[in-house]
Amino acid sequence: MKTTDKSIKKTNSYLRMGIIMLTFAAVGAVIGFVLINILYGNINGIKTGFSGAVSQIQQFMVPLLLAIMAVSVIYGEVNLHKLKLIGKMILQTEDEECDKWDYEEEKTGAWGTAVNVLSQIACILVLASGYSLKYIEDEHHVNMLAACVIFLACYSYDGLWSVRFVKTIQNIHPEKKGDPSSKNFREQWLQSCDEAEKEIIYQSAYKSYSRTNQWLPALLGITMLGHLFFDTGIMAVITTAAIWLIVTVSYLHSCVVLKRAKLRE
Amino acid sequence: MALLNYLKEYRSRMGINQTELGRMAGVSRQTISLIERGDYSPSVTLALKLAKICRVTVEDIFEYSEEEDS
Repeated sequence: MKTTDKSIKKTNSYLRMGIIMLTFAAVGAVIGFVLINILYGNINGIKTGFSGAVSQIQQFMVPLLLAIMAVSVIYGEVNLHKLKLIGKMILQTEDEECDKWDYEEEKTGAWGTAVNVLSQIACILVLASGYSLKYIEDEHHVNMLAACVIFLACYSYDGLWSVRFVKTIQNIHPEKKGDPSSKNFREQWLQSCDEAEKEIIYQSAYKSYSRTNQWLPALLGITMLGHLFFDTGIMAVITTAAIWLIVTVSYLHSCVVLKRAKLRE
Repeated sequence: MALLNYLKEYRSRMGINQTELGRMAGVSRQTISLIERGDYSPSVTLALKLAKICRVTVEDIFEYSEEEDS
């Protein structure tokens, strides 16, 4: 009975995988058909549209970067102030009441970090639109220089914010160790976490790995189609493929190293 | 959860809060809170440490229930 159950389960898994692959193939075929028959005739129009969008961003590069920096600074300061107040509450309250503030601390820290990273990504995207010799040579070099200065200022603020964020958390929880400017910071931080905190970190890390492995193949497909139809550049395809490979190999390497370490023990 | 625990009762009997118990066991207050709520099953080492602090056996604090597991 057990063997039959196992074989049914196995068949179902193969069948399900086959259906998934067929579905993706069908979706790919439909997308290909649509792109070739409907969009291909307008491909130059789409390319012009993209170039237009990039030139619009180029035109407003300085105010856009200023806006990103303003949002980053205002949100960063409000976030740190809120975190300090939460820290005070954590130190003043006990047991069940403190659980609520611990959650608030986690949530506020997560929002702050997310906005910080988002600001860095937005800065790069906006500045990247100006990376064109044509744009710089067309008497826009002052604009580009100003954009670079704002970009550096914003990036410096974001970097310093990360250090201040870690220091704030360390003030609330003095047991948390690690120098945020050190390249071994993550390792030092993990060392200072207890077993329950480590479990949360490991679970979150595995979830991120799983999600990354779901998104990267899709992104690779998008960058590949983008390059095929809109000439968006092979670099995007190579970069996405490299990230996928690095993430997978890092995970597998870590698993093997940990198993080997257990074997030696 | 298959693992029931009476850590909160023993801690209350000792008259200490989660922060103090955490400090004595070398873990954070949050970890003590997670164990008390049954959201985290501690390692054998931590369970033994907690039992030693409370001056009872591990079985006094933690109880494995087969019924809830199924």
